[in-house]
Order: sequence, then C-alpha cells, then structure tokens
Amino acid sequence: MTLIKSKLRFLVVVLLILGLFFRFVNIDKKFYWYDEVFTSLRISGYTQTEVLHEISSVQFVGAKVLMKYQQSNPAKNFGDTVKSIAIEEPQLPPLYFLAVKYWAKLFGYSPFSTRSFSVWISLLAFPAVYWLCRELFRAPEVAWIAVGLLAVSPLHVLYAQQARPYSLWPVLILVSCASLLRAMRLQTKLSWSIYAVATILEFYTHLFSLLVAFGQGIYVLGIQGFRLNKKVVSYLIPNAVSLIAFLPWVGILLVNRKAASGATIWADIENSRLSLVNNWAGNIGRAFWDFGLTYHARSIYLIALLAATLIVLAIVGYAVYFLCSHTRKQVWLFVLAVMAVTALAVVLPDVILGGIRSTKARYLFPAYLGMQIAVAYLLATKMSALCLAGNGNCGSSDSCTVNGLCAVGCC
Amino acid sequence: MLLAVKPRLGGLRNGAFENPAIARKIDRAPKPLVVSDISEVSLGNILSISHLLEPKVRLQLVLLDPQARSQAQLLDTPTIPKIPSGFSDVFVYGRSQKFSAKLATMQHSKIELLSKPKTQMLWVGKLVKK
Repeated sequence: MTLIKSKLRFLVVVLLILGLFFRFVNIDKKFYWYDEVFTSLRISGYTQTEVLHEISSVQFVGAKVLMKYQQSNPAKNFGDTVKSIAIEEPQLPPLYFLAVKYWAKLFGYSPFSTRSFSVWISLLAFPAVYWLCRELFRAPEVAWIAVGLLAVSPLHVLYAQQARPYSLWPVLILVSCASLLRAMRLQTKLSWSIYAVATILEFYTHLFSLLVAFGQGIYVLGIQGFRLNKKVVSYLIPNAVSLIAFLPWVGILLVNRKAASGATIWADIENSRLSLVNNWAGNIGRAFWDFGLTYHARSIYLIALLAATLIVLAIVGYAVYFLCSHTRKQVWLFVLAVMAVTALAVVLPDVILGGIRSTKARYLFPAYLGMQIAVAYLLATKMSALCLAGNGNCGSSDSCTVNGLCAVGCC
Repeated sequence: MLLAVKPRLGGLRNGAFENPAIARKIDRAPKPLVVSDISEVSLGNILSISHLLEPKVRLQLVLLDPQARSQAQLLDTPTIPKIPSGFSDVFVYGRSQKFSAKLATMQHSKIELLSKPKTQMLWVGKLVKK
C-alpha cells in the first residue's frame, strides 16, 4: 500500500510539473482574442461608446492609437472600470476586472501581464480541489488524483492562459463548495463566515455562481429535509448575507438588462440540436484530454478521434454512476446537485429555445469540476481495489494502474 | 509538440481566429491602408487585430450603422470614405459584403478577395482599379 502511495505521489508531482509547464509556456504567443481585448478595454476604464466616438471621428488611426484603449490611463480609475462594465456588459460582475486592473497597475497592461494573472490564480485550483476532495472522501488518494487531473486538463490549461474570469471562477467554486462542507462539519461561526466570504467573492466573479449556490441548496435540503433545525438555519444565514451582498449588482443588471441582452445576443444563434450534442461531447472530452476533435480535423483521423472521445465519455458517465452507487448520500448528492443544476440551467434553454451557450465550456465549469472529481474517485477506488486484490503485494498490479492513470492524465 | 497546442485548442476558442492570417497579409504590404466599417466587423475585432498589425499600418474606420452611431453620440450622417492616395495597398476588412460593395462602386474599383468569405467570418480583400 505504501509503495503504491509513493508511486501515486510521484505521478501527481510529474503531472503538476507538466501542468505548470503548460500554463507558463508561450503565454503571449497565442493571439489575444476578441474577449480578452474586452478585458483590456474594461481595465483601461474606457467605454466602448467612447472608443467608437473617438476612432470614427478621425480620418486615420494607427495600430498604436488603438492600443491606447487597452492600456493605463491616468484619467480613469477603478470606478470607471466598474462603470463601463455596469453600463455595457452588466452580465459580468466586476471582481475579476478590478483584480486584473490592480495587477496591471503593478505589472503592466500587456497581454503577457493580464494573462499571467490568470496563470497564477489557476494554481490555486490545486489546493482548492484537494481541499474539496478531502471534505468529500476519506481517502487522500482521490484528492491527489483530482489535483493531477486538473493539472493537465486541457480545459483548465486553456482558461489558465486567458485574460478572462475563467481561471478565478473555478477556484472560487471549489473554495465555496469546500468551505460549505467544512462549515456543515464544524458548525462554527468562523467556518460559516469563511463560506459566506467565499460565496460573495464567487458571486462577484460570475453570475452563474448563483446556480452553484442553488445546487448547494438542493444538497442541504436533500440531507436535512424540510426541517428548520440548527444546521439549516446556520446554512441559511451566510446564504442570505451573500445574496444581500450581491443585490447591488443584481440591481445594476436589472436596470441595464437591455445592454446585457445586447452583449449576449451571440449566444442565441439558432443551432442544430445535433451539433449541440457534438460540442458537448467534444468539450467533456477536453476536460480530460484534447484529442484535437474539431471541424478542421482531417476526415481520416475523425473516426479514431471520435472513438477516443466516446471512450472518455463512457469513462466519465461510468464514473458519475460509480460515485452515485458507491458513496454515501452526503457525498454523491453534493457532487451531483452542483453538477446537474448548472448543466441543466445552461443546456435546457439551448435545447428548448435554441442557442449556443452550452457549447462554451467556460459556462459549465461547475459541471466539469464535478465530472473530474467523479473520475478521480473512480480511479482511486479501482486502484486500491487492485492493490487489495494483489494481497498487499502491489508490485505488478499497481504499476499497471499507474500507467493507466498516466494515459488518462498525460499528453 | 508545443506547435501543436494552438490548433488543437481551437475547439474551445471562438471568435476572431481569422485575424492572425488576415494581419499577416496586411503586414506584408510596404505602406498599407485598411478600410473597415466598425459596425460590420465590431470593435472587438478591430482592437484584437490591432495587436497583430505593424506600426506602419494605417486604419480608416467608419461607423455606418445609424443605431451604433447614435449610441456613440456621432450626430452627423456617415459617408463612405474617400480613399486618399499615397498608400501602396488598400485593404478592405469586412464581415459581410455590404460596406465593401459600396466602397468599390464609389472608387470605381473592385475587391480582390484574399481570404475565402464564409458567412459570419472575417475576411480581407484588396481594392484594385478596374
């Protein structure tokens, strides 16, 4: 057992080193895409309206002049950043943009700088997922494997390198979930306060955090029932505090809802339901391994790529089933509720009304995190089962599992 | 291996991925001018391509859509711009054919496409005298 543990630790360290390498390398070599440009615009404090007014009132602009709207401006402060988001994109809560503006004041406004903020923040996902898994499962192996899976997950690596909120958001989802489980276990004022603070930060980072909170609510309801006992009351108080703290932004969103619907109109493009399913399958696969399954893939590889993606899908599906059938209700209901609420809330409108929001992996982070945790649990359980079957002599069986794990995590 | 990362992650990205190829074509000209209707290609794409263009590139940007104009507090009526001389190449950066067609008629020129225009995709063309 100790041999397999030390081998597992070694493997996780290797995966972490690989993950660090993938996150830090070539930060500024990939081009600064549409959404990232808007991050730079927001932290400069300019509004889109101001920029449009200025650049279409002059005859020529050089590329350098356009950079002005993506850099520091002595006349604009943190308030201007909040104002420009509130007026033009109120669907985005401002916490990430304020944090990255502060970062840019220290380290510059270049794409390298704004992206490196995301890279450093993404590293916090490792202790955060470790914490959540330790709250959920007794075996530390699950937590180690989850850290390894996140380290080399193409989904996490991609968003770790983007100047957008999707590196900070998963960290706060994990912290909010872990701190809730800890508070329910300890029942102290301090632990509930930590949960409240984490949840407020999560709300102010992404609107869909409300879905995570809703999933958490279903979990508490499922465990405690409709009784208003001490545990339920102590759960309700920090949630009420978090919601009240988020009300100002909800107010801004309601007042400027026209701007929000204008800024998100791209997501309402009518799309065939079949291509939705294709996208989901590809994205779930990419949470673990990027097979390169895109529309640009050469057709001779397509069958192999499709088969590989289907295998990952089957593993994920089995892992969720395995989690639900092998763990206590306190464990499986938590993972399932957080996962399902977000997934259904994002997927159903696309299926019923049409839209492409669910094809963007970033909105479904809570669901992907749940799948990754389920797979980590499956691998950890199978590994220790193999080890026990080997009668404590883990020599041959464990190296086989470790290799299998490596295949799932690596590349 | 690292070279392979970019196209592989393409599936998760969306928007403005045509820009690098377009910018390479523009940067190749000795003294290029890029003409574009912002209401057609959108501000995000203009700002995104500005990271890729060399300092020698000049942009002549108009905002034709009346609603976008009133939002940007531009009160005068928009005009199709006159193309001044002195540029080695005049490029049109677009998303639909609306603006480029008007521009070509006015300049008694035609548009020579440099990338394949697909629906809702960004493309670049060159303005050449008929």
